[in-house]
Amino acid sequence: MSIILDKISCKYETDMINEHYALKCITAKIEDGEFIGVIGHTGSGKSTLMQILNGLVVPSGGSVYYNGEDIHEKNYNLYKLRSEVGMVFQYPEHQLFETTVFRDVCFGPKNLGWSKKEIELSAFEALFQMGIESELYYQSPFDLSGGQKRRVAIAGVLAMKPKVLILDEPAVGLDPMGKRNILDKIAEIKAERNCTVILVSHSMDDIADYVNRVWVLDDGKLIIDASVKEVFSHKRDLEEIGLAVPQITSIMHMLKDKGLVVNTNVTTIDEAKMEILRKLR
Amino acid sequence: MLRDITIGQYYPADSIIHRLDPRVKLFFVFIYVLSLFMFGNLVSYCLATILLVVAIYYAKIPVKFLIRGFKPIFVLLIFTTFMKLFITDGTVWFKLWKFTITKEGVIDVIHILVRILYLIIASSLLTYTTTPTRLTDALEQVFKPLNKLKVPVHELTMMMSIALRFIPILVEETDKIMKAQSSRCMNFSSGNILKRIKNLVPILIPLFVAALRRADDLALAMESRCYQGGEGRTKMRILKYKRQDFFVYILLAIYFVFSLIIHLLL
Ligand SMILES: Nc1ncnc2c1ncn2[C@@H]1O[C@H](COP(=O)(O)OP(=O)(O)OP(=O)(O)O)[C@@H](O)[C@H]1O
Ligand SMILES: [Mg+2]
Repeated sequence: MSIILDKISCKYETDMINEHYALKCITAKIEDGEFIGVIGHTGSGKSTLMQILNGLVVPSGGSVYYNGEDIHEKNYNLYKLRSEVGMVFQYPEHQLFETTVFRDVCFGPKNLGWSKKEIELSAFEALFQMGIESELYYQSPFDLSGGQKRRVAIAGVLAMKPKVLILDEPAVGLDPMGKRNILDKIAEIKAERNCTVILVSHSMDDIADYVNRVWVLDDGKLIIDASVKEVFSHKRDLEEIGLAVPQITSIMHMLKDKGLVVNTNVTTIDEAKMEILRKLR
Repeated sequence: MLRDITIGQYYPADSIIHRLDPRVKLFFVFIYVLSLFMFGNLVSYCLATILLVVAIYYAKIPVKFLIRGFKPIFVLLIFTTFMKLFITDGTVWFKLWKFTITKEGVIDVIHILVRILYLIIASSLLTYTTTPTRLTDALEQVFKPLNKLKVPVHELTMMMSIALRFIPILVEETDKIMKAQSSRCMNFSSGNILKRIKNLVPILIPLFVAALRRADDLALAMESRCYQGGEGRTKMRILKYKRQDFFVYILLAIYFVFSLIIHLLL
């Protein structure tokens, strides 16, 4: 069970004349149960790559294999793919449309043709997992706050019980609490269902805290595909393409510059604490 | 598919037609379309064709883009053609099972096709070569006299320019929403007509919400920059006729008078 990207490239017609390659020859493999983080500057092609994984954008070159089958083969069932690879878009709250929160969450499972009982059970479960208070279930989704809407929209995808969950900047535009909240929930769900998660984020701290493996995109190219520790040891390279290391890592770098010879290959606060204590002892 | 909608799109290029005064182009398209519908004879159609070909040539716009504009109305066009072809009474040319094709029917179809196609080409040529701002500037200038009759010309043209500006944004928004719903396994293209209409709900509601949100934002942004309508508002670029503009007016007059004479003679 895996997803393989084989020399994917993708072009868009920008205005009416010009073409623009949003992705250039991307090759990678995703194993079951991985938690992958995707970083890259604005316009580096993150969203495009995620939509290709879901079969929503057809690449102009290369192929995508899901469990060994080419998803752009003529008689490949894209509905089946989308039922197994769930995608939460950037600003997913913009896709809400039903009269009540609960009905909106049921929309995805309903399209899968499950029985009524299964649909409702799955919707309840997803809403519960995303921490939506039960008073809100029968309210209009348009009356909720931004963060609540976001969680409802994510629940709408979770209710389909995807085996692979793709999240395109799920926490953008939320306050720090709401952000932590959503990411913690996702980590919880991942641990519980043992699914594969791909998380796009602009926050290096979030990436360092949650994921195992990181993809760095720069101008449509996959330039680094490595573990968190290794990616954030390339401080210079990341800064060159407009990215950064997690705050705690840069603090360690500063300490080192000031003369405290610590190991800078640290990505979380706990690790940093241990390292500094070790040094001061 | 949605990106085929080309109404109101601008094609950036540097050509004589692009540089013409927008009022000239506006009058030109108006008179041109008028002439298409007033004079329906072979000679005037030939003249109209020549004019159109010359304009396309000088506008430096690839024919590909002009043809793209037809795609959305293609089905409609085919449908009207067949309806007209089979239900018009008159001299029977030939019979096909239950349908009869008449001479009048064929002539009518030719009229309809030429007029609609030329109308679309001419008007998309106008928007391809004129930015929405210039176009609305021109409209405002042309209709300025109506201000005296208490018609809010500035406001109306402003509305038009905003509408034009919003077409690509809404197209993009629709694209995004369609993608989001199809990632929730929504099936657009199955079921009977009733089901398909119901299928539009998950697209249309988020689209309306998005449009209202954008309209709200825009209104706020305009107000916070002290926009208060046309009264006393000055323009950064003032429209001024140049030599080539008069030349085009003369060309237009010759075309119109000539067509009129032929129409009266025939
Ligand atoms: N529908 C589209 N039509 C034309 N060009 C597009 C379209 N979507 C994306 N692009 C272009 O493709 C490139 C990659 O866009 P993409 O949305 O994948 O970037 P991103 O990494 O997700 O950026 P962000 O961090 O801002 O979300 C950009 O240059 C963008 O202009
Ligand atoms: Mg993006």
